[in-house]
Amino acid sequence: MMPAARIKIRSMVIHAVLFIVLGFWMIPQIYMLSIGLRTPAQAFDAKLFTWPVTFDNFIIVIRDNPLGAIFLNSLIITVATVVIVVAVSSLFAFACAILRLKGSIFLYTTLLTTLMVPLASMVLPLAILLQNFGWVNTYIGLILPYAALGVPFAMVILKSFMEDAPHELFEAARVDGCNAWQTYWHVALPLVRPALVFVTIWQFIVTWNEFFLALIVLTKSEMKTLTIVPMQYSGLYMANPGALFAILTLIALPLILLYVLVQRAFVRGLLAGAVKG
Amino acid sequence: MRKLLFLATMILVAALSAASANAEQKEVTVWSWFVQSTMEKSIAAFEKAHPDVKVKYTYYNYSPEYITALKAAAASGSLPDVIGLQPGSLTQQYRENLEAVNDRAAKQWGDNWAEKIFPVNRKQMLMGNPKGDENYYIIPQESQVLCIWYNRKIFEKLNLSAPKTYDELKAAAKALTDNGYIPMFQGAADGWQNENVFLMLANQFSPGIVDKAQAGETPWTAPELVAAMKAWKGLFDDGIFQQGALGAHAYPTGAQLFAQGKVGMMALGSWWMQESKFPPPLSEFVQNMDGFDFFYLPPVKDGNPASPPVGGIDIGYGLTKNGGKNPEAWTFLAELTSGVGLQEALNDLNDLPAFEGYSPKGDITDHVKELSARFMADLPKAENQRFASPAVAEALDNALAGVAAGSIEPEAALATVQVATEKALAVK
Amino acid sequence: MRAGSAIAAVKRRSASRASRLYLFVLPATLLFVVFIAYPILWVAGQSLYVGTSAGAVFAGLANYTTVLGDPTFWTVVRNMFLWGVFTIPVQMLIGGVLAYFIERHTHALRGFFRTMFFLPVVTSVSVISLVWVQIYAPYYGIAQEYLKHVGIVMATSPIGDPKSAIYALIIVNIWQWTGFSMLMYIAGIANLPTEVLDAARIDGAKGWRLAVHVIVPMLAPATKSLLLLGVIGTLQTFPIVHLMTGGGPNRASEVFGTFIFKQSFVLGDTGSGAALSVIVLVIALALSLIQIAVLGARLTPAGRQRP
Repeated sequence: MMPAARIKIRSMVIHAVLFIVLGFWMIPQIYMLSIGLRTPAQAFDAKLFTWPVTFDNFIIVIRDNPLGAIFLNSLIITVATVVIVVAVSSLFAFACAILRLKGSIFLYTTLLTTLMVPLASMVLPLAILLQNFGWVNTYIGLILPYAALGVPFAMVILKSFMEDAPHELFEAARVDGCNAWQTYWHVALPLVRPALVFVTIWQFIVTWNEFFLALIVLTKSEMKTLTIVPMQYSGLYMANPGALFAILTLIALPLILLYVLVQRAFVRGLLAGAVKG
Repeated sequence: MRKLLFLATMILVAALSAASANAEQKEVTVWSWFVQSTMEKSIAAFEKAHPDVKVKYTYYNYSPEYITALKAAAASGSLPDVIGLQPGSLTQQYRENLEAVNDRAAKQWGDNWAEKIFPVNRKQMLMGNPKGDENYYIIPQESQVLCIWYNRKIFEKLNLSAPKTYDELKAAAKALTDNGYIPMFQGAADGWQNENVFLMLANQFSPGIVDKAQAGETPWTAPELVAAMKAWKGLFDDGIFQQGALGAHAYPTGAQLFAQGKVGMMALGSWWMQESKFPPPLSEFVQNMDGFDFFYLPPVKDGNPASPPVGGIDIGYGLTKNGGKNPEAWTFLAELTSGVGLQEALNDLNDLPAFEGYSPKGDITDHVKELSARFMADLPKAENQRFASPAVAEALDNALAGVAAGSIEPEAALATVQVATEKALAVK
Repeated sequence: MRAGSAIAAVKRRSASRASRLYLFVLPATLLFVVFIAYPILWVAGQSLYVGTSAGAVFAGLANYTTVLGDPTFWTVVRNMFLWGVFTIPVQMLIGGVLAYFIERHTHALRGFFRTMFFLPVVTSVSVISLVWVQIYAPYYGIAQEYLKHVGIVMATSPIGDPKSAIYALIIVNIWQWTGFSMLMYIAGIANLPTEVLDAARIDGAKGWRLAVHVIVPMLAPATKSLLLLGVIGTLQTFPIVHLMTGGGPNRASEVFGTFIFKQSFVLGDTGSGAALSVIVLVIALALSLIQIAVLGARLTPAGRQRP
């Protein structure tokens, strides 16, 4: 057999297997969308697809709910948290990995530990703290705790990337007379760009989907974020499961679309990293 | 990176400035798990009667959202003016954050105001109070009666009638199963639904026995309760409940399936009538409640009567210490529990009133009127459905799930409830 | 000479400059002290008291003995162990295999596959829970309907049986997070130095041998990050369990998150909830020390082998 033909067949087999696996993998998501497209009578048919489909559920929930405002709340809080986490954790990782400041490793271990404490434990003291600061029902009251909880993980990732970066470049920066700040800005950050992209995506997902803290900090209806919403609709659309799943689909959609977009940037970041590394 | 930092600064500035802007006028803040669309109608009616007051309502799903938000707000002293409460354990958890409302209520409705409230409700209002504390911390808004709803259209189709004996119940369940329906949907993953059915059973063997047991007057291991626990297990073994009930939730799944006509029976309560007022599209069964009627659990043992009505306060409201400083807060609470606010909730068929002298008005069919009247007639003789201590309720939930799963024997399971009860009573 | 010591040399020249360098760690430290250290100290304090906020009584270690004497605690420990032991390796394995085939054997559809397998990660967990409860359900669920055709009859709901509940939840968790493992490995594979791969290929390594002997060892940093993340994720497990089983039936699927939640919010027992939190913190401390001791030591040399 010709090598080219063999490669082609192998590639087709691999694609076929990947598609089959993906087919199974997507069942829950397809199911969610499919229930959203059903009439009340079809809603509980034990089938993945039903026919005919109806878009009424989507029309009802879009017409009846201020999803735009809720979406904006989520976006503001998430973007601000991500930016703070990336900035703060990269500074800290730089101090640990490159500057090797005294005591920074102790801090590192401490931060690592606190990463594992269940959020349910922290809710009460944080509520008291935020009340004392007057930060209940403000964006900042949610952004800063989220940032504090997000920094440790981001820092762990960035630190190991910085330690793995080629040290000659830092040496060169020193010879060129760069101070620590300049080294951080012009050498370290560009070097760990894939890690920065990665941390950004991770933090975005985590913040966007968090609901425990959001619950206690945002107590006014108009301040609520998207993740607090789904369970509320389980009561409202009790008689119409299709509408419930339609709204679940709509709530899942922004992050999915966003990910499809950043996916490209993520790849670009990876390639840039590969060239320099 | 620079652009991002700039953006972050902008957002922070925007966030901080948004925080500082909160204009102060006559405003009442309310939190609850009460259906948002109905509460909005109640608020609109209140604001029409009191044009100078603005009511801000925040809806929470009951668990974990509502109980988390309440606890956090109580710990930090930032509770709203008025909070939705269940009598017994939930009210007791926040007693220290609540105003006693006796004086305000007497001023509002006259000295004998409490007599206008149905007896089972009145008892529940004091439930769990320390000895000697006769204060009311909760004003009930709505009452409920627990029952077994059934889909009468399916029953007609299968030539069944509301069962009067356990054998009839079993036969009905079998006929339903054979025809591809879920016999009786039990959301046994939810503790509250299991408690409700157990209360129906226990009160059949000995009325009021659960109340005595939770007060420490009768042990949980009493023969009547053991028999009730065995009957509970029987509901699973005899195919009354659907298979896999322990992994199922009453809401949203069970209620949805029931409304869509896939289920023959379901243990719910008078609040189920509200489905007929939900926005379209409704299934043919829910339309005007045409497809539904209710019965009480038939005798599970020869010699037993059918289960008596069990029920009490569906939801009540409390005035927080914060709300005590806001005169409008009480005004709202009063209108919500016995006034224009309550009337709106009743018109939505949300549930039964807690105060005498109210009935739903507006576009309601004869069938629903008849259902409502039957519930109202049963309410005065209803047995108590609530628990004074959350730990006892939790222990009972676990015992019921354990027995249903077959991982623990009825006697041993009830013994754990007894231990929890003794512990809870000792703390007081 | 290492870059770190190079900068350190610069640093030593001026003491005032050195103290300015601590500005790098200041923001993280501030956030940590205010929003993490203070709450933890508060919780540690509360764990020594019984009763409600107004009438709290100092009780020493009573809350701890109560919690440790509760059989549920040991169910939780067992469940957490199962959770970690199953989710972490299975996610790594499926994620790694997917990453390998997607990165090395697809071209035009690479972005498509990467995105689709990742979607469960970005879907809110409350949405996922509702969908999976529906999938697992008897009568109207699709799992029993389709498994019937391949001869598997589900007599009951897997989340309704105390014996299987925790495993049924683990499956959902694996399903949700495997895309993330895949992504980490994709990042690792895309960053593999081509010189090393070429050198290996010249030596005759191909297919599986190339994958197992060359690529897997070089992905060690990604594996370690995933391990760390898996442990964190395990201890933080809450929403899936709370929304799907509530820790039931009869506490069979209880995890630390739901246990703490139940004690402090449902039962209003802040003291024992706090004691539990402190115990989890101690376990976390032990685990992170182990991780630093076992993995941390190898972190730098194994990271990249430079030709």
